[in-house]
Amino acid sequence: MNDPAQFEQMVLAYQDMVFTTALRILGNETEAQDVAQEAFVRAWNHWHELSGSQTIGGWLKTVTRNLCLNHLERYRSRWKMFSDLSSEDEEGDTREVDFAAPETLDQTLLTADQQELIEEALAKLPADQRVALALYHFEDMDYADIAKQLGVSLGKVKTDIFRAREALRKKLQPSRDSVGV
Amino acid sequence: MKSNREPNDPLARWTDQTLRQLPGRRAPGTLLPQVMAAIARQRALPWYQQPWFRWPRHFQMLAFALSLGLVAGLAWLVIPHGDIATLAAAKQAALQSEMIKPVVSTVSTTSDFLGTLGHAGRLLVGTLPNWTAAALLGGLAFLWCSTLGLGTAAWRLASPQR
Repeated sequence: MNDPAQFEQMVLAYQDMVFTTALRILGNETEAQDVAQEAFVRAWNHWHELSGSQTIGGWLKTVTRNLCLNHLERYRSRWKMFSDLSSEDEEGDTREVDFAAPETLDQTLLTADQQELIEEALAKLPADQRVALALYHFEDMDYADIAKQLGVSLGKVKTDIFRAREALRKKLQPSRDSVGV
Repeated sequence: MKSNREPNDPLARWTDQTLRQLPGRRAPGTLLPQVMAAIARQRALPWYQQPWFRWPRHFQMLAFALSLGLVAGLAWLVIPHGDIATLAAAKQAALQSEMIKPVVSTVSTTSDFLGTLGHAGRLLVGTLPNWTAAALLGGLAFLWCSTLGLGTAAWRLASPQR
């Protein structure tokens, strides 16, 4: 029989990770909360296998990511159309976009304001760019896996990720300038 | 988060290192109560309103046996068996009884209909090579087993609000 108290402890321990994963992919707090809830309900249904397991974090992360992708798949027609319109003819030219002064991109520690700025910028990215960027940088998927998972071409994934990185850089640039970087 | 997957791309490297610094977001305080409420709702459902694979084991077995019985009964109606004259006499005798006449009449009509269908099926199967007929029957049996039709149908009937 499942132990609700033990399960609650597990939810408290992993809820931030699950919510963050969902939020980074979906870019919407309400949807992320719904997905997180569904992930934990699934964990409850498998609690007899997961209870005491060392891999529960990985299990939750994978389930959350898959739930997010399923969620996006459901609304795919809504966002795919726009992204295809904007970039279907631009595959292969990503590296020709002017990228100013890469040497100025040396890493510095982000201030709280900058972190907030990045979070905002992530949330405002077009869905296809945000999803591809999140899967690459937060979920450690490679370009080919992302293309396969999203059912789009490799070129489109690269384009989307490049554009998302550029958008983040531009968003952060004024604040970087202001601190003299 | 893996780093240096694209060491020659400064923008990729910068993005990776920047995103790595982002702290995790705090889940809303309402998440835990929501999760526990959803689980409570799920637990409150009677077993027959849950998917077949969550039924108690003995009810799963019972549903399986019932579905087997249903198929066997249909097969009994369709496939000719026993002494036709005896069956016909029994049917006539049953039809004489006023109490069970409507029931026997309905069953008889259904049986005749299914018998006709069965006869047509046998004629069709008779024209096929043996291995084709066996493959068809095997395929049908596999489909039936895989869908667990009766359990699913019972679940849907028991939860019409879905």
